[in-house]
Amino acid sequence: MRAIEVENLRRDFRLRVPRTGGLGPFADVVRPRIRAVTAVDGVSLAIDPGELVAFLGPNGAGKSTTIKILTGILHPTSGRAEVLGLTPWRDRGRLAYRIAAVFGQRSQLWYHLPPRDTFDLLARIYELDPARYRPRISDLIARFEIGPYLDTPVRRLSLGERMRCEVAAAFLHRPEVIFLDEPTIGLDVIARQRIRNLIREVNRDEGTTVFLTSHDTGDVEHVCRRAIIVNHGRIVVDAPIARLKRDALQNRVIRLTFATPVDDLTVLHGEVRRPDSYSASIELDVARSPIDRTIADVVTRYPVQDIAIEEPPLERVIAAIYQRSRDAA
Amino acid sequence: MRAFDLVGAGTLVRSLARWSRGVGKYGAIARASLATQAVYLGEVAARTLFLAMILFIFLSLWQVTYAALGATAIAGLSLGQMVWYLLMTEVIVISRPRFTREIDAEVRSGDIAYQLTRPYSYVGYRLGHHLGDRLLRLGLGFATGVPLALLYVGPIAIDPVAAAIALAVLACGLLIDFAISMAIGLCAFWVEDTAPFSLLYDRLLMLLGGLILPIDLFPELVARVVAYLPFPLLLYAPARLIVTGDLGSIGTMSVQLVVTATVALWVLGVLFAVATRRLVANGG
Repeated sequence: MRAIEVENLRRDFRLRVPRTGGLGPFADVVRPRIRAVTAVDGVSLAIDPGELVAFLGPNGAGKSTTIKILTGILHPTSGRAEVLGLTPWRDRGRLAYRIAAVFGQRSQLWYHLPPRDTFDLLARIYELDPARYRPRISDLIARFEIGPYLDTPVRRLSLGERMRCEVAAAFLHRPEVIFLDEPTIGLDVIARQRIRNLIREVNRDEGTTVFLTSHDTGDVEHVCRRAIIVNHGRIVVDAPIARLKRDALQNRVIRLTFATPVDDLTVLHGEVRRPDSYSASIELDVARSPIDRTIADVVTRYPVQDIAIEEPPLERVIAAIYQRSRDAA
Repeated sequence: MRAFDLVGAGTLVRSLARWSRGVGKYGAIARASLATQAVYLGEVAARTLFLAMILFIFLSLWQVTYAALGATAIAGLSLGQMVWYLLMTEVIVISRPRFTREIDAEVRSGDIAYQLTRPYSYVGYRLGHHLGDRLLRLGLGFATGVPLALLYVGPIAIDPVAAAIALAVLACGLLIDFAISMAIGLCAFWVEDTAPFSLLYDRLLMLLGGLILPIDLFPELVARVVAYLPFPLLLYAPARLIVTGDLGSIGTMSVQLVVTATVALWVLGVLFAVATRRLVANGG
């Protein structure tokens, strides 16, 4: 059984378009103007148990609508979706015990209570057996290192501490699928890295399927192995992240370190960036400019001490995919 | 047969355990809500001050009224009973949280949709939350109000049976108030602002519920009409019952309470079902 299986999912919305002018509001009451918007347009995907999948797209691409359908809070207009073998909008009650969702900008922790109280409450809500809950919470406290502020009211925690508690709370009932919507939003670099590591760790140890939505490509790169990119409600790319980085953009970055200062660097092809006189980076489109010729040229003419070839950052890869799909639309 | 009995008993035990776990979660929500309210001690202090002022003003007003009329009892209540009655109704009203606004905000922000992903009934969750919050406010209200009433007019005779029944009436009234307030909050699915409805309900409750004036003092026709409305059940009924111990109309009141609570909860249920359908169909 797949963790998530979606076939030809479609979701249309009918939006009222208000008229302008003095009589506009009255006309809207008598004969409202309706505009149909397709938020999800024939999405099909299959995710196996234990997969780490990033679900990406620009604002308004249909990500949130898809997540709402998959968590059972929205009906699709047409199509089929199953999460853990259940139809989310029909079996929402049963599904709720088996999935979890973390929405970075919405908290499930009680603001005035310490996290421990929310954990205890969640144990009751998810009807966890006390004999199983106690070792589980001890494990999560140790794993997420939240012991020191477990008894501090949530309102006094830093965002990083709160988010660690949020994610720990989501894992409390051992969900088989977890939906993470911007789980690191607003966090500093270290806190972000910590959250990412913890998500991977729980995935590795418990086989939890991770369905992540984030505008932070760092989250995608560090947590996920596969990316599904949507735009205008359609899937434009569904591929392993490694392949995406390798194939989606034909750009490569050559990083050079020189043995002695080089002030005047010229290359056959590519865009040169010089952080200082001892180093340089050359970005070139390998489809048009063979990388071997550029390297041979540089090595022959300059005192190159070290050389590294890097794929373009995921951020640029995704931006290029968005741009391409926008152009195609 | 014996094996069947054992299997049947096992199923029953499992069903009961499941049921108690199901109900238990709402009790846990109420406890968490109660604990949360403990942080608002400043607000509680302000409410106590307000209660002391209100009671003092009404005490003075009623002292003048009783003296002017030369009466020892008005609407069957002595001055002491009248002050205790006012204490009860004031505490019940002051203990009302801004519940409608919370629901309205939850609908407007879309948070209500995310609550649906949790394994509980949203109405049950809200009921637990509301009761936890309200019971603490009521407890603190009475804890501070009773010494004030004792200070102002001294103790009155209270019949323990009537007091116990009054508590049950109060509990039923809280349920009705919850259902009406939540239904108004859920109207945010259809109207831009529920504040006018909420304000109207609050004012009707205060005016027709018998907050300041027991409904026996209303003009006869008004009193007869008001007696069929839910408002007196929330304030007048428990307060009058506790101060007079008069169980004469308990039968009618019980029927009224059961019917009103059933209708209020049914309306809430229907409204929530329609709202949820709208939510899952339109995304809120």
